Amino acid sequence: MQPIHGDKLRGHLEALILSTLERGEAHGLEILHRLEEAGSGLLRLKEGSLYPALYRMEEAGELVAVWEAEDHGRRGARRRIYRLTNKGKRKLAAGRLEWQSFARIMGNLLGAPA
Amino acid sequence: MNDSTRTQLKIMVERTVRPVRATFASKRKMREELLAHVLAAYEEETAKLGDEQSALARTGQRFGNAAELTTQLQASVSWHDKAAWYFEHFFKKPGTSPWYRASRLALVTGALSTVLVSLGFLLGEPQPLIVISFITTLFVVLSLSWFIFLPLIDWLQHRLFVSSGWSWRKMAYLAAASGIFVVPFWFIGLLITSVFHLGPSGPYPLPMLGLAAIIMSVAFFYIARVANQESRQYQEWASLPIE
Repeated sequence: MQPIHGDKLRGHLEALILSTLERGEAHGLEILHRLEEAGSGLLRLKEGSLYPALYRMEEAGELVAVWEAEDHGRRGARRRIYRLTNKGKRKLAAGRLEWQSFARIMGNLLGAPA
Repeated sequence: MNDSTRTQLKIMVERTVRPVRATFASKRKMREELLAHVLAAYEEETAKLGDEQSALARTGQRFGNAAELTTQLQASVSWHDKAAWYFEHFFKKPGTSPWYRASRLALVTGALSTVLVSLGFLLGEPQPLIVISFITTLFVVLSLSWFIFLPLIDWLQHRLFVSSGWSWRKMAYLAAASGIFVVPFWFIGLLITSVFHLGPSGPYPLPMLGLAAIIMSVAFFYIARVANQESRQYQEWASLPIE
């Protein structure tokens, strides 16, 4: 299978982040690892791009974040741990429905089963 | 990891964050979180590749193009943070002298005071000349007080936080700094109460002076500490060559 790069992921990144956080709170790198694992290594995202999306979603109230208590030897560079809010859970549910509808329509248009 | 590698990773982060128009607090959050990310990614790559230079290059590839990330980060800045950035940039532009910042604040305080006094004069009941003169003088004093307050904070942060721990000398600096403000403001309080007949005539209660001195000392300490932390962090990141 062909790798899926950032351009194709655009527009779905926020839903993907929400779905990874459904499994439990996580910091940025852990979110990326979960995405990689779920995408069988075929999702190719520039890692820095994750953070603007996280900041937007935090601002929108879909996520909350707290600084980790220790910097684990990174000398003053702590990570932030993100967690889904109820608003985020509702957005994830809506995103799933939207995706199912999108995939069905695209499947019909391209003549392939969704 | 050696210091040189850490600096290279910090430069990677700073290239994306420095051009972003966001408040100091927002950029501090971005810097710390992105640095934690690239440090962890670098460790992963070093474990995989075993070579520091290759690991550094691979971390950069994983992180992404600096200009693109800057655009994305800029787009993620909230409207209220952007508004606060304009305010902060005007009054607290990093790297500028306290005199420069004081002149900007004095200008705005003076302009706002003039508008308020003019509106009060035009819309309000006619006031005796002494009241108008008093209010005008008060606003002029407030505008000019920035020229004492900001250099004083600058002086205080260098005196209090250059070395760690406490000494009698540091306590004396703090008391002197707060005294410079407490006594004139106590006097202004005395004038206000007598001009507007707000309180008992005669000397303003002395215990109030003591309380004001304590509150002012705590406030000065806190403001100087925050200013010192911001200044150190600004210098740490601003000194990185990102071009």
